Amino acid sequence: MWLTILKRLVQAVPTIIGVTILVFLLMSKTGDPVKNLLGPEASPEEIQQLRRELKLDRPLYERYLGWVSGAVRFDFGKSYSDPKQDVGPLIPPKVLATLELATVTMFVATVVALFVGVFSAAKPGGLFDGLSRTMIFVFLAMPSFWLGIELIILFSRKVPLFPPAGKSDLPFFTLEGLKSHFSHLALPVMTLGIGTGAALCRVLRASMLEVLHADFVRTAKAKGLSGRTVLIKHAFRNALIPFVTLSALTFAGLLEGSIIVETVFAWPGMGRQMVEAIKGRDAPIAMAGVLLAAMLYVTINLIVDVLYVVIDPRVRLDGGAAK
Amino acid sequence: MKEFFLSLKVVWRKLKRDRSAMVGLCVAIGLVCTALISVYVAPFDRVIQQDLPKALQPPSAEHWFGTDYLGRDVFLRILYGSRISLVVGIVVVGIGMSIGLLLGTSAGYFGGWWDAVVMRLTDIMLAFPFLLLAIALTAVLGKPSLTNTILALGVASFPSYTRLVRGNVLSLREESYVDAARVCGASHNRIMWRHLMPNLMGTLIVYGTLRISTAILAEAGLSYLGLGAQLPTPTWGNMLSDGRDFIIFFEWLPLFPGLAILLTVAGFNLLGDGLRDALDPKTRR
Repeated sequence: MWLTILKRLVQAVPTIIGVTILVFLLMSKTGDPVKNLLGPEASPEEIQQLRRELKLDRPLYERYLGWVSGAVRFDFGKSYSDPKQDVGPLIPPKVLATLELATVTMFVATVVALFVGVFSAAKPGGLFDGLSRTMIFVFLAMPSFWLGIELIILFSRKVPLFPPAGKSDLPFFTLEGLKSHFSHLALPVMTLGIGTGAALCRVLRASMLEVLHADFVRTAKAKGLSGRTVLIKHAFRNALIPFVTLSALTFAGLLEGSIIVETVFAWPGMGRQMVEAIKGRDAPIAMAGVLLAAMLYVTINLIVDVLYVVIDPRVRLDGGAAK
Repeated sequence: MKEFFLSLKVVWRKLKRDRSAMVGLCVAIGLVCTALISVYVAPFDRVIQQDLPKALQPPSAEHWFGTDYLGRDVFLRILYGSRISLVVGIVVVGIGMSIGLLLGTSAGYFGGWWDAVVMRLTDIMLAFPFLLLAIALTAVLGKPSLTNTILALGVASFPSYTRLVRGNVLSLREESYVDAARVCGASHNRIMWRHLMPNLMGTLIVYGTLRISTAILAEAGLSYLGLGAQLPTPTWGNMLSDGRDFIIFFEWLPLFPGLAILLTVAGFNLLGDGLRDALDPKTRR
């Protein structure tokens, strides 16, 4: 097993190096920042001076190596829109805000998916199953930015329960702060969570239905176990394997979803920051954001691979470690 | 090729029996018809025509979906948006599929160093969330525009096609008819395009149909973020962000573009699922 895990880790190295190269190449082609910063009136001397300061006069490979060695130390250089501002310190609060949103969304979506998925599979074709399947289908086709706007209209304007945008600044560990944090989180979490919950629910339901037709479930029923015991102790536990792995991948997918949802709700996270940076041609911020998101994506995929090895013995055998 | 058309007939017979898939097909045909009608009913100069005294009117007999903050007819703008969504869906899938088919077929068929290079590139690109990669590519292509969005989405989507095609080619190249063609002296090109390609089409049609909805949704998302087609060109996505200050106070403004996206995406999802079932040999009767 350990050999297989090690193999997967080694396989990820070229991908990670490739990701850094692609991010660098893409973002270095987003236009000349010097002209943007100095404007059309700048003299050639001024342009040359700034190019030297931003190290843009060096060859591409040298700039890449400099950027990677900086990125390893969490030094992403200076912002192009404000050359006095280091990019590194800007990142952690934004990443934390995005992770806060993604974690709460994941928790809520998982709980709802577990509940709906299991009950839906318990009586396939029933009223609850039919209703939940229709809802899942609609939610999966719903654009998150539209859902967000509709939720703002419903829960902020018509029934003013939650704030329409922003993130609470109050300290988290007071009653007032906790309330404020949750009320600010409510609408973005609903927006991001509805599609996520629907996707998880669909997988859990399908997985439950497959397991419920398996031989060991028939054996459990033949032994005279109650329907509930069969459902929860036998079917549910086995259906959880694909669900757990998909949940990890879904968490990575939330980063993508947060790009739009953060913009709808003015949530000060990394997604919104990246969109602003790309719009403003601020390559160092955009590069840091894209690199971190891709790295997180690669890491989560790697964790899922490792989880597979741990959970599913067939993958272990395939890896050759258990020969 | 004859077998391909024969299997299409079988697929169509099966598809006709699937009510959900038929609803999906109706939505797809509806989108095409709407886009065609919009060429005559909603020309560009009419959809950008401002009429400030009539701004922010609710739906009525005169303006079916109401008017926006500049007095522009929301119904006409949605009709125009359908044209953009259809073009985006088809062209993005076309670009992704063409690159994916070319790279995936050659990588799977030839194997060796070329396969390794293509698959590493695919792995690297799949390490990025789809929308994030599309946003990054949009930035590379210059100022946001519809053409750049389509190119960015097309390029961002090719890795998934490449992986799918390569996987299929790996098993198809071991088939006896490929050996037979080789023995008959068929060139590599002939084997790839005349023998392997028709056998890949079924899988690609299903995947492509499902990806149309992803492309439409992604374009709407990029337009919403201001990274897609630029105003005053109306798209379903930028109609949800144009006049942001008014949108939450006048419900019909976001309602209809959102419903248009929802209906289209749901329709293509249904059609894709139906095609998948119809083409699945396990369910083929």
